[in-house]
This record gives sequence, C-alpha cells and structure tokens, in this order.
Amino acid sequence: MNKTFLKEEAEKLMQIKGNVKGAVLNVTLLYIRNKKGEEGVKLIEETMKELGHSFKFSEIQPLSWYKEGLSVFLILVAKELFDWTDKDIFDMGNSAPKFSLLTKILIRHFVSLRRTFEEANIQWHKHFDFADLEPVQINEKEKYLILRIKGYKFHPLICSYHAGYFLRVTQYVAKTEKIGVEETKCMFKGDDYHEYLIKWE
Amino acid sequence: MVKISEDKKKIQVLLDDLVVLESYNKDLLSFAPVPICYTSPQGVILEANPAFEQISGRDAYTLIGESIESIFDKEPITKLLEETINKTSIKGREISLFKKDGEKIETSVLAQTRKDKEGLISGCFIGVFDLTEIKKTEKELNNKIKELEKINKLSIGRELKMIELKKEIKQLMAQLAEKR
Repeated sequence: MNKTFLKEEAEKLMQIKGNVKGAVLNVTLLYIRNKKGEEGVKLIEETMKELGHSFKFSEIQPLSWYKEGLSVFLILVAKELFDWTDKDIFDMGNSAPKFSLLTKILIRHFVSLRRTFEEANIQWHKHFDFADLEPVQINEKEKYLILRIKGYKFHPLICSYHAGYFLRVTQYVAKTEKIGVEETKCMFKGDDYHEYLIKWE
Repeated sequence: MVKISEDKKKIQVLLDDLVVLESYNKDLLSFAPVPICYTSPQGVILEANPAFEQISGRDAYTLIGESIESIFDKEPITKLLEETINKTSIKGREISLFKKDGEKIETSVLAQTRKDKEGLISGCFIGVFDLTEIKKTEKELNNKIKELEKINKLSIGRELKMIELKKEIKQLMAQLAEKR
C-alpha cells in the first residue's frame, strides 16, 4: 500500500465540497465486514488513523452529514488495502442499497420503474447535499433508461460504485433477470457530466 | 440565528428518533419466529428477517435483491403476488419453498400489500409457515388410517367367513339329523 499516494489523494478529496449521509459510510462498513470480517474493519480503521483521518465506524450516525471526500477516501483505502478491482467497487455499490437505512426510507418510492426513475433526484438528495441525479430518458418499450450525475467529481473509482448502485435500484423495480449498466459519459474523460445507460431484456 | 439553532436541534431530535425507530423495527423483525420478507411490487426481496434467512437457507446478503420467484415454486408464487395486489391480502396458500441446497419445503404463505400515502402499492409483506412437521404428521395419520382400514376390511372379511361357516355347519347338522 502506497501511503504517500493515499495521503495525497486524501488531501485532494477533502478539499472538494459536498456532504453525504452517514448511512452511506455504514453500508461501506457492512460490505467490508461481509468480505473481510471484523479484522478487515479493524484494519481499515487503523489505516485511516495512520493516514490522519481517524474515525470509528460504530460512531457514525446514519442520518448525520459527513464529508463525501471522507466516504470516497474510505473506499479508496479499502481498494488499496485489500487489492480490490473496479469490479469489487461495482459490487460494493451494487450491494449498498441492500442494507442502507436510506433505502428503507425510500422504499415507498419503489412503486414502479417509472416513478423510481422520475424521483431519482429526490433519492439523490436524501444521500447528498450537493450535485444532482437527472433522470434523462426512460423507454419502457425498448427497455432502457438514462441517468445523469451533474456536479459530482471526486474520484474515477466512484463511477463504478454509482454504476453498481443504479443497477441495483433498477433491479428492484424492473422485472428482469437480464440487466446491464454502462457509463456512457464521464467527467474524468472530459465530459460535462456522468451518464449511465441501463438496459434490460 | 437562535431560530436556526432551535430548528437544527429539533431536526436532530427527529433524526435520532428515526434511528431509534429503525433499530426497534430491526429488533422486532429479528425476534419474530415467523419467516417474514418484504418485496417490491415486482417481487424483488427488499428485506428479510433471520427466520426467513433460516428457512430459505440463504443469508440476507444473498436474499436482498433476489426475486421471490427464485425462492418459491415460480408459478404459484407469481400468481399469489398478482392476487395479493388485486385483493390486498391472501392467507394460507400452500407453496413449496426451495432452500439454497435444493431441499424442498412445504409452506403455507400469507401475503399483504403495503400502500403509500397516495394509496399506491409500494410493496408486499410475505409471511411463511413451515408445514414440514404438519405434513409429516398428516402422512403418518394417513398411513395409520390406511392400516386401520385394511385391518377393518380383514376383520369384516373374517366375520363374514365365520357367518358363512356357521351357516354351513348348521346345514350339515340338519343334513346329519335327517340321515339319522
């Protein structure tokens, strides 16, 4: 693990403005616990402390605000520490809605695919106090939808996380076994926003 | 300035209450010995209690996000969901559940819709009763009944034979008396 690299990344991430609900940090913890056990959680906490961003998972309040930079950094540290790939980060995002308190609160919005899609930005702002999740297009006949994240640029790693997250929420309301997601535009590739195309059969 | 600070305090109290309420719900669901899960209107599992984890042989991590159709016999559970959405609740429908290892369990399923404040169906509660023991006892009882029926049939047959033999003896006795 390259500590100098991580310290530099942390410095950059903490300077970006924007907050996230503690529930998001909690589901990251659950993913780490599920994959690496209590030892993994302990290791993360110790590493975060070494890197100058000490915090205890047990003290996180699910509905309080935390810096998004911290949340992203936590995922980055886990990736480095456990040698995770982008696929693992996608999986982490995909698992996140399963245990999030926010998802439970938002369950009432999962009435139908269209309603979930139309209320995407409401759901986004239950998680973040910045940026927007714009529902661009839904075509239930041709079975696809397009979502755009505007004003969010923390780390390319999170593109996979969000792809996994959006896929899971769509899986909740689209009755299908064959479903996929692709990031078609990315701010880290020079686009003005991140865009996700979700297709199902 | 004082007003903002007071509002913030009130919001924090509400948020704390919400977390406590969620924890209470979680504890209650964990305590319930009956397997319970909650699905989206499309039948995707969104929540499952430990008793449901146990009966299905899958942990919550695997269960949440799975289609209810992959846990139960597909056709009857799909029909049950459709009927529940139309009728609000269904009780005591016998449907087979398949554990992760493929073991088949006979269950009685009850389902009830959950509606949002606008009256739209936001999901479905599903409760499950394991019928394994009941089915086992039922089978044992049926076997006993069959056995008893067989014994009864044999007894009646024996009885009839006895009557026949008695008749025959009577006839033979009469014939003997005539000859004498």
